[in-house]
Amino acid sequence: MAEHNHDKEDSIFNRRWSAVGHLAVRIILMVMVCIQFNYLGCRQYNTLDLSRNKKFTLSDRTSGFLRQLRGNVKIVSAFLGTSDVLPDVKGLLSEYDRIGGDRISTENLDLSRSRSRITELRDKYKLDLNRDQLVIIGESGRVKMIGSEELVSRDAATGRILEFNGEEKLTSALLEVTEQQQKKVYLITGDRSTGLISIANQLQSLVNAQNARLEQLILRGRQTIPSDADALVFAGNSRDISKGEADLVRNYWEQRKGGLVIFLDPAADTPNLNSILRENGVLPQPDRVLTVPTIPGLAYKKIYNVPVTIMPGFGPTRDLPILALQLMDRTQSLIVQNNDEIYLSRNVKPTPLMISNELFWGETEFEAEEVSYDPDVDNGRPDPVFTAAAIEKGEPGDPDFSKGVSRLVVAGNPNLISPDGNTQKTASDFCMASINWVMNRDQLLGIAPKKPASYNLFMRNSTFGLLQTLIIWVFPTVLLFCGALVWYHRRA
Amino acid sequence: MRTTAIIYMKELRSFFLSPFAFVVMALFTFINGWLFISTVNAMRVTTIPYSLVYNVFSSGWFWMGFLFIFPVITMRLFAEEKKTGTFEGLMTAPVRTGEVLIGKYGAAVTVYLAMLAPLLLFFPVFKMVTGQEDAFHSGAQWGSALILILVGIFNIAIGTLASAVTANQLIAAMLTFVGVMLHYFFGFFVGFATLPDSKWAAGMDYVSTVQHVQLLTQGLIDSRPFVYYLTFSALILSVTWHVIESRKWRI
Repeated sequence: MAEHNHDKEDSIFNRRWSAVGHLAVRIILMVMVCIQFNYLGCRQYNTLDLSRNKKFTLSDRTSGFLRQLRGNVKIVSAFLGTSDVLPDVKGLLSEYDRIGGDRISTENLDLSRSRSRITELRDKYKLDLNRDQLVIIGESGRVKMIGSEELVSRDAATGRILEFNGEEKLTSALLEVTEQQQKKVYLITGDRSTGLISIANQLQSLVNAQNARLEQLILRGRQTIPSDADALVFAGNSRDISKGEADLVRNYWEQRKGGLVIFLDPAADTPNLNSILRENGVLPQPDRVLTVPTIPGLAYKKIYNVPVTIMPGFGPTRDLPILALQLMDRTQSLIVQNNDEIYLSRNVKPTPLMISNELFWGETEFEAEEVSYDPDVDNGRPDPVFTAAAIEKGEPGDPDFSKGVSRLVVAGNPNLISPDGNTQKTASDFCMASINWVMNRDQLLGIAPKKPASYNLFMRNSTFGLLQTLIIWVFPTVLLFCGALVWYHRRA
Repeated sequence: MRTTAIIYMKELRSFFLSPFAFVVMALFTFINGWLFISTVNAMRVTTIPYSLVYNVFSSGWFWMGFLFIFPVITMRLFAEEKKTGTFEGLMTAPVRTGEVLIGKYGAAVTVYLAMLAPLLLFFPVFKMVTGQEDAFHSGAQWGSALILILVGIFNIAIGTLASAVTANQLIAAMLTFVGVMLHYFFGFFVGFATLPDSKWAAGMDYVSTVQHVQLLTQGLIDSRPFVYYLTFSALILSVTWHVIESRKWRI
């Protein structure tokens, strides 16, 4: 009998252990399935950006660039956890990681904690990781570093972040570490007397930020434009180029499909330079864009600082939002023959890029004491007054420009890059978009900086008091009243 | 399905027919109302880069109060049945363990949503009273509602498991509180310098409620938190099912 009971206990014991074993195996399998699901969820995830200003969404340009990225790139974010730039950087990297797929890998390091990894990277790539920065490492070992302050524009007084330029900087850096050769932009010098150094310095930093190099070039005496020139910039040259130099430029632009950016100086007489524009449907006018306020009591004064709107939808401004800008000092108008069959048949497409405020017109008698709009000789009214234009020229019979395209941007104001160093942000954005566009770097166009939202609640004390009463007292009281009702009913 | 609905209704009745439930809800609403008003007041005197929704739900004060409601909601689910001896009757009745589990869990989630509703109503009331359209945007509202629901689903699963493993409501409540607190603090481990290696940090980021809240309350709806909370809730509920079932072979 005792042996029978002993066998029975053994059997129960074995059954229990068997059940425990089964349970353990099942739970382990469930955990593995769960982890697998999460692994897949991490690899193939999606996001929906419902934030204000779409702050987590990359521009179409960057997305397109990332999808066609050549080679693998590693992006290391090395920031202190306290950095106010870090949240935006993290969000940005997450999107680059998601869209770039296997070609982009990201790594977030904390400068104060990830010491071993930082040492490892320092030894491997000879990096100096002592400050908040992004490090972009290309497949070929090419490294680009972006300091945290390059990613933002701050309010000088408060230090508050006004704009986050991370996407533009990061895409540019990716381009740099993956692009076969650095682009080169030549600033045509020798003819401009004032402000050239300041303009060159400003252009230099703008161009460097876009992974290109700026050098100065004097056309006089040259037989050819340097073979590594990707774009030429005429920044308000005060004297004209010679016919031979014009042919050189024309040949460079048409045959070599080089890029041209021309800021015209209305005070300069430049028929040879203008001839290149005239041949392609943009006619610089011998006028000044101005207006005269007709407010009673206000002194008569000609106003030359022109408020203009950058027209989105084409060329360098294709993906930019509608932006306003003020052209300072003297501006000449441009007639853009964008619907002329002659140019279209030659596969030349001139397009206006900037339109002036409707109160302004192109005054030909601008040196007179008193001016007024004369429809016979002046420009504008009701026609729009254009102050910048783009030209695309392809091979005849190649409307899609599949055989290459020559690109040119012209503005009727020499001071878009201000000689006194106070270049407006919109103007520098326009200049860079133009330079990138003429160099056929469409992937760097239209990456507008993200403006962080700022919140401040203005309300009267009485409104705040009402809100306080509703939220703190009325809501809980209603719930307590419901509780009292329940209690009363149950008691009854 | 019908059995599940009956159990679900029974649980809801047992909660809402008690004045205690309304006192808890009123207290929860009062504390969060105070926090909400304090945040509004702070935003009146200074300009900050984050919306009202973000400031309310990213606050540590909010989460300290918020995490207390899960033990309150879930501690009774199974522990009370065990204590009063009705659990044996329930399990020997012609109902499946899964039906009991889903009925009780569903009821707990419903109670949670009912407690959450006044909190989410603060924002439309704010807009109605102040007329300030720019204090936050709808994306942030949707995001915050979603993350609170996801975190709730997950934490209630933890509470259900805790209630299933013990017959003592107090122990169940403490287990739940420790569980949800630990999970919440995973997000801070990255910042506490305990996990310096970046792969671990990435893993901690993935499970971090703090990170999820920061992104969703800014309006970035990401599929990863959905996968994480839903799959792990399902896993915890499966473990709970096994715990309940184990009584059959442990006796």
